[in-house]
Amino acid sequence: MLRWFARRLLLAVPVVLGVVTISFILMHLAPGDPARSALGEKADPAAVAALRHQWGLDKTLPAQYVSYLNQLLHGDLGTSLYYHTSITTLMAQRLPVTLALIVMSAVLASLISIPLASRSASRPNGATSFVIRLFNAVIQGSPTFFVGSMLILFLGVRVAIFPAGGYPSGFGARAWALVLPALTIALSIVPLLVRGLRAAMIESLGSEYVAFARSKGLPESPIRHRYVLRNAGISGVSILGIQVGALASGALVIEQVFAIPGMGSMLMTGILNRDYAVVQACTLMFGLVVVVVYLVTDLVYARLDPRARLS
Amino acid sequence: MTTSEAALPSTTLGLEPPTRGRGWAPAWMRRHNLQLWIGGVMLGLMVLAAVAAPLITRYNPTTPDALHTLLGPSGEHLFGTDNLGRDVFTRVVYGTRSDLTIAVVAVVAPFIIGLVFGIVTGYFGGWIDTIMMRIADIVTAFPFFILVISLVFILGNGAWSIFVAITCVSWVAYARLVRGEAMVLRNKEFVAACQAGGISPVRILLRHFAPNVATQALVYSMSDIVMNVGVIVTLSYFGLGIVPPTPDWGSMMADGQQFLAGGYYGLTLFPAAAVIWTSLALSFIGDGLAHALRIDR
Amino acid sequence: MTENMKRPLLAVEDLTLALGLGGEEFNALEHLSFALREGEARGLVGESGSGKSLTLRAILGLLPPNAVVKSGTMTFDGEEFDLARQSNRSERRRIERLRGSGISMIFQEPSVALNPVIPVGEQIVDAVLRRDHMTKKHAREYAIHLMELVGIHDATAKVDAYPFELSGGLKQRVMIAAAVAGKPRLILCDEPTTALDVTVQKQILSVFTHLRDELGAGLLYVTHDLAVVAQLCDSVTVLYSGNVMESSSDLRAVFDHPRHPYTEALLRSTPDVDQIGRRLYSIPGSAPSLDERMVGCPFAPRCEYRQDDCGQQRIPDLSKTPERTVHCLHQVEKRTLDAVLEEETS
Repeated sequence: MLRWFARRLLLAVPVVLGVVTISFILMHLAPGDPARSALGEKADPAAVAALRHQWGLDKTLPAQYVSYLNQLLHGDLGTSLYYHTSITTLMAQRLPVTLALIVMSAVLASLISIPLASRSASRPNGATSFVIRLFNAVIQGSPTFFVGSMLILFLGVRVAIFPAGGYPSGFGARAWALVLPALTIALSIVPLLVRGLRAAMIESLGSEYVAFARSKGLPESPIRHRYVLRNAGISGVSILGIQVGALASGALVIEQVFAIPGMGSMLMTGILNRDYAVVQACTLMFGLVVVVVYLVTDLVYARLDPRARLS
Repeated sequence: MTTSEAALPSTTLGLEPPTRGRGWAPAWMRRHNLQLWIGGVMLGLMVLAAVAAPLITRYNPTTPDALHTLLGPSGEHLFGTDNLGRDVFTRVVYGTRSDLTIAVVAVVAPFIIGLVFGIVTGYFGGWIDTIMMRIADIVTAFPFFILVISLVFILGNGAWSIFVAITCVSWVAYARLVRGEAMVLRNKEFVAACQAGGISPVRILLRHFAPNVATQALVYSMSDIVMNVGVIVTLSYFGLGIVPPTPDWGSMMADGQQFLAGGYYGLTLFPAAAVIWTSLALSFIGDGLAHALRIDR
Repeated sequence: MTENMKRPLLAVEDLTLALGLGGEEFNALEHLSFALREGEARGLVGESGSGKSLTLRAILGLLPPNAVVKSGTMTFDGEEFDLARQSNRSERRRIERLRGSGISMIFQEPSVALNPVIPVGEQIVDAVLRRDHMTKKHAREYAIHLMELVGIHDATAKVDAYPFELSGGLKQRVMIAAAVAGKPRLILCDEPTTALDVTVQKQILSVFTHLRDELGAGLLYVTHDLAVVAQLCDSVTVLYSGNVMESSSDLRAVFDHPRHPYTEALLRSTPDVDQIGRRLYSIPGSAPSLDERMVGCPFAPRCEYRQDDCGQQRIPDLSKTPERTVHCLHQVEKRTLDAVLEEETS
């Protein structure tokens, strides 16, 4: 198991390096002059030159790449032009918020999807299944920000159960403030999750191992839990893992809609303020988060399905 | 393959196995492939309206009318008017022109790039394949929308940079899909037969691979268009996409949002309905195509 | 004791079952009847598609969703069950209560019938564990005991293994152990050796012989292999295309003198090491698929003894002895199979 994980870790190294490289390329191969673009068209040429020097844009591309890597290795993500602070410090405040949001939405997505999927798997051609499918199709077609603003309107304003946005202080209040945004993000992957889980459950329900379990006299409820749900849950875990990118994209949009101070809104303000270093750092961090989540998913998957440890 | 006898009769009769948990439509819909028809009609109506926009509405999508702001739906203004007095119906219809066009066009380049890369890597394998797949891994490590938005930031607003950004990111999905199919096909016997018969690899690729593999990619492209519509609308919602005053669903929803609390739901709901309508139509068509082409997805 | 010998442990009467395919229904089993005494081993023989497995699944209420029982009753240990009323919840519950301790089943493919993500020991005892409130430790010991009973030597080392870590033969032994865990009085076997290598097949068959002596459980053994039936069973029922062709509580009598042409044809096409050089008979044509079935004897189109009246009506049981059933108008004359085989050898 340990050796298996070490190999997985090793395989992730080139991907991490690639992610770093792409975040470098993004900013350094940009058409035009980032320094001028950041300071505006009417900026003082001397100030632009100073910024170019500060960002190392006056060096050769390989030299820039080496110093970028060197910087990252020392945990330095650069300096924000807009906030005038170290991005690493900013990131330390913002990253946990986004991670909490992603984790919460993954949990909510599972809580919503599992009952829907098992309901529609046990009677695939029933009326409820049809309604669930229709719901899925509509949700899948709705932009996340639209779902978010509708939830704000109905659950945050009309019936004010949840705060309509913002990020108060205190653990409980913060968790409560994250529910609605997390629900919005969760809904965006519910259709995919229900689809995958339902297919896995139908397959499992019709499988020989379930028939055999029944023939042994095992009652229906433990069969549902220990056989169907467990086996389908394994594919659910891998779907969730693959969808972490979608969750992160959702966080980017939804943090903006709900005014949550996470990495997503940091990236968005970075974009609006033409704060190159912030955009670069956020893109990089989002990529790294995904790579780490993929690793964790592999680990959980191997924990649940012993066969996975072989390959 | 199950070995239970119960599964045998379906194969002896040459009928399809009972509906699995896939696709959207219930069994009765699948039997006549109704979802393809419904989706086709839904999309057809939209395209028709977009093409014939000047004929079905007498308003201009961008001309403000200070005397008729924030009107409710009526015979005069089907969907009402917005805060600048522009006809919402007209703007939704013209929005189809910009949003749907970019979404569809933005599928073409990734489709072709992915198809070429997928076939080549899947067919030849070896080091080309290894390198290509590593690149694909790296691109997919970034959340789709985050990479797109960063690229749009670098390239600047407007249709062209949306187009380039989407192409840079979404070719990977096609390449993966096509590569998988190509690898399966490569091991089939007719390829060996062709090679034995001295037919060149290029001919094999063009005659046998491309059509087989393209149908898969075609079905996928339907959900890809849906995703593109979402991306374009979201970018415009944040003011990073299509530049106003060009009518577009995303910016319409962004403008309408501030009037939601005042009860002017139409400004947000009508463009949203257009987005959902388009997505439903395309996913019906995707399911229907998959069904018609006997692709299990 | 004598009372037990007379009254059957399991009796299936007039079982008719249809499969729904593409909106149409086709009869997969027609008027099937057979019985089995306490401790008896009956072979249920037929080609694939003859409905053998469906019969077993109908007995345990494990039919696929597209199967509909049209008619049929089952008596187990004096209790009667209406197989056609399985949509009724309480009726279904009654059969479910038999599973495990009354009747259990061994499936054809050990690789798909065991849950891939649960250790085998746990799968052997999970049904018993639930009923008897056994402790985990006790259950584990019981699983090891059962694994030893079915001839797994290093059971302690294998009890926590996952199915994919075991060979096909070992998995089949695990499944047998799980099937006997509830001490059933009847075990349904669905071609349990078909998926295995020949040498492993032999070992598994000896496990069955051993278990019969040890537990005294009855066996309903589905197979297409008459040699297996000869080795393991006391009685035989021959199925063709969902219909009983011939049935007898005395296996020897059928093997010595098959009365139904299909039984004879099956015996003639079974290889026998003693008779090297004999050209194996092969039945002309192939078994009809579900939509090709028609009136009269289903075997008629392939039968050497066919006459015009074969295809006119359902063939009743025309046997003259109570311990035998033969659904044939033109039964094989009284010549022994040995004589036929000798003819073919020379």
